[in-house]
This record gives sequence, C-alpha cells and structure tokens, in this order.
Amino acid sequence: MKPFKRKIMLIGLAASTLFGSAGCTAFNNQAEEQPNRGRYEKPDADDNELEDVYGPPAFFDEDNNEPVAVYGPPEYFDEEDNELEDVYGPPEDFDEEDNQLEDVYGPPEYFDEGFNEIEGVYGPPADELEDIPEPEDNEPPVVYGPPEDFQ
Amino acid sequence: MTRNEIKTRNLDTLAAYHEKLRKAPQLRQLFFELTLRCNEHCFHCGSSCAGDLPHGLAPEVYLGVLDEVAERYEKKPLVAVTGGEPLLYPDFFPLMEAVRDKGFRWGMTSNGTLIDKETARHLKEAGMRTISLSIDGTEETHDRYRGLPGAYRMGMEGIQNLIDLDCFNVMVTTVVNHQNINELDRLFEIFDNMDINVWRLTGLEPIGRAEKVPEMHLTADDNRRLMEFILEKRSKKLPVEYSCCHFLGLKYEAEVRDWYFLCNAGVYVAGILVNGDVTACLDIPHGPGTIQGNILKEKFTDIWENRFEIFRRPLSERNETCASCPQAKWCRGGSYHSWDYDHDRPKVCMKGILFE
Repeated sequence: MKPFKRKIMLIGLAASTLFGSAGCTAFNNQAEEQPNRGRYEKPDADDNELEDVYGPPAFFDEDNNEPVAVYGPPEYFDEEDNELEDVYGPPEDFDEEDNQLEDVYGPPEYFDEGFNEIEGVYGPPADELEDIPEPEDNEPPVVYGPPEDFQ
Repeated sequence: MTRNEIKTRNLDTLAAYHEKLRKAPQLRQLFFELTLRCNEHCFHCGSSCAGDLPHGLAPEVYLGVLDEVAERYEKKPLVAVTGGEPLLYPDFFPLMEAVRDKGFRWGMTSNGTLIDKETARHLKEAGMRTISLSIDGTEETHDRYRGLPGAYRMGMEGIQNLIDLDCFNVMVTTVVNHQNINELDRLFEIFDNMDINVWRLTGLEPIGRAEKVPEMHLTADDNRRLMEFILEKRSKKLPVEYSCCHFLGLKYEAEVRDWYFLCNAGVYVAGILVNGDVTACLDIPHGPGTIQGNILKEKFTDIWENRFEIFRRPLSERNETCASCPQAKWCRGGSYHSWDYDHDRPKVCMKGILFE
C-alpha cells in the first residue's frame, strides 16, 4: 500500500468565518484558552505516543496535489491552513464487558419491539454460478432512461 | 487535554458546523447513477443491479445539469459516477470527457473487471481523478459473492492496470460481512503488496439486496472485531480505514478513519438516479419521502435549493429514543441511508456495541 497520509482538517480561522461573530460554543472555548486563535501550540509530550486528532479532511483544489476521493468526506472549509492541538494522554478505556444487546441490525432492545427480520438467502455457492449471457448480435440500439413505470 | 476531551470538542464543533450547513447547504459532491446494468450480480448489491436493467439518461441531460450547476454556484462539485457498472454505460467516455472539459473533477466506482490496460489509459486521458474498486474476499469468496466466475482475477487485474499508470487515487473497498470477516488478515496480506492508496472497509449495510440476508450482517462482536482490526493496522501507519458510515463512539471516532462521523447527504451531497429522480445519496432507500424531484421535470438547482427538507433536519428528531440519547448531538440519528423511513428509527445503531 502507499504510505499512510493522514488527511488534515482545515478549521479554525475558516470556521470562525463560517460561524460568524457568534461562533459556536466549542470554538469560543478555544478562543478563551488561546488568545491567538487559529494557531495552536503543541503541549509537551507525555510518555505515550503522540497522535493528532483531526476532524474531517478537506479536498484540496486543483493547485494542490492531494487526491480527491469518491468515498471520504468532502472539503468543508476554505483553504486557510490551521492546526489543531495534538492529543496527548491515553484514550479512555472502553468497557470490554460483552453486552447482551441485540446485534447492530435491528434496533436495540429499548426501541420498538415490532422489528421483523426478513428472510434471506446467501450468495450462490460456487458450483451454482451461472454464466452471464453474451449479448445477441442483433442487440437493439441503446435507449436511454428507464421506462416510465420503472420502479 | 485528554484525547477524548479533544474529540468531544471537535465533535461539538462539527455538530455546530453541520447545523449551519443544514441552513446553507453547499453542493460539493454530485453522484450520477449512470446505469443499473452490471456484469456481476452481487448478493449484497445496495442498488439491486442486474444484467437486464436500464441505463441512465442521455449524456446531454447530465451535461445540462452540470451547466446549470456551474452557472449557479461558484465552486464546482466533484462528480462521482456509479451504477451498476458505470463502464457499461454506452457513452461513458464521451460523457466523462465532456465532464472534464467543463472543468469538473470526477471519479467513479467500479468492479474493475472491465479495466484492461487500454481502458485504464482511456480513463487517465478522460481526466478520472479517483476510483473505488470492490474486492469482497479471497478469490473463491469474491467470485461467489459477485456471481461471476473470474471476477476476482479480472478485478485485481483492473486494479493493477490503474496502479501501473500511477495517476489516480486508487481505493479498494471491501464490504465486510459475518462470513468474510474471517478473511481480513489474508486480504490485508494481498493489498499490502499492492500500491493502492487506501483500503476502505465498510460493514454490510441493510440496503438493496443486502437487506434480504440478515444472517450475513455483522454481529456486535463482528463490529468490535472490525474496529480493532482497523485500529491495529492504522497503529502501524497503514492506509486502512473504516467508511464514513455511523457514529462509532469516542473510542473509535477519528481512530479508524481520519475524521468524525458526519453524514453529508442532502447538505453537501446529492445524487441523480437512472430515471432522473433526485436524492441526497444513491444509497438512501427510494420513496416518496426521500426522492426530492426529477430533473426531467424541473431544474436540479431548484430542487437542491428548495427541497431536501428531510435531509436538512437531524434524523434523531424523528424518534423519541434517538432524541433523548446523550450522543444525539453527534450522531443525529446516524447515516441517512440506514434510517428506516417507514418506522422512523435507525436500522443501525452502534450504541451498546461500540460505545455506551
């Protein structure tokens, strides 16, 4: 695989523009903590491996070399660069105890109980695969768009 | 600040941003469902594609939409073409070359089976920037899931043909289910030896044909196992990521992907189905509440600006349990494609699975 390139979120100065003078609560808290809002200084490292925690990345425009992607979040903000704080310290421990709730499909038990499972089938086993038929020589010309009654 | 405190602050920031975006949407990605025809027949196809289904609209219709968008908005959205198998659309290259000539960036999804060296070169010349290709298991598994003998071999050859040109963002997507989750280690070995940009993993979603196979969907343990698998690879700086679906909780958000959950259907993203119906995302179930209009009857920009109300309110507001959840401000009811619009509740909820 190609080297990992963490996508960088562009926020901060651009966000303040988007949010206007009122801003959002979270961003205003950042301003109170750091008067020179928009340029964060890295705190000292602790013993744990340092990881930045970024928000959604941006697509860069044609002048940048960063690739675009069909899947993956789009650009959110203008092209003003900004750094977020690095995140230090270990993540919170997740409770590893196995829970007894239902699987993720179908609502958890505190939802409506009327969820019904749909019976289904697996994909065909290998020995039952059918060949895709070849198009006939007299295949009709292309017709664009489905019929009016297409569902 | 602790890691989770930073995440909390970022999620709060994004929640506020999304609220602003819902009031002032910006079209940044436009999907064209070029065809429902496919040379494969995947058991889990979200679009229920097949070999005898129709193609989409004539090229000039799509180009007319792009002209409209270019005239109306300052920033051109990324055009993403999908299907079925988009390469089966009869005028694929003339259309995409015209998209390029109009100044739009574009990408596509594909099963890769039709991408020989000549086609790869043609995609490069037509201006393709990025592609997501599907590989759902090792050879026997992939061929069986896709209903096409040789699908794996042809798909992998297609991926390599693109890699050899070294000018695209090549993403391989694997739809993980209760069965092929046991093949992730083997698949990793395969992709680690290929020069792809990203290996994207997404769980089997309850849409299209996949809705009919609940026994193949990921269990709670499967979901946790998938998260830990991705975490372990990313801890070694390997480009493996979870899809953009679903709120995953503080432990996994921004860990298994570079960003936080933020479904942008209807505020950033729109899609046009084969019959011209306009929706917020091609994976969203088609119905009177989710189809916003039709480009054969009205202007796309009018639909984008004046409809989409259902996608410009948090889904969590439509369900009492969701609305009272402490994570509702970040989750907002989850992905729009996995919402049960008939019963107004989520089909997928990671609460109790990945977070409390």
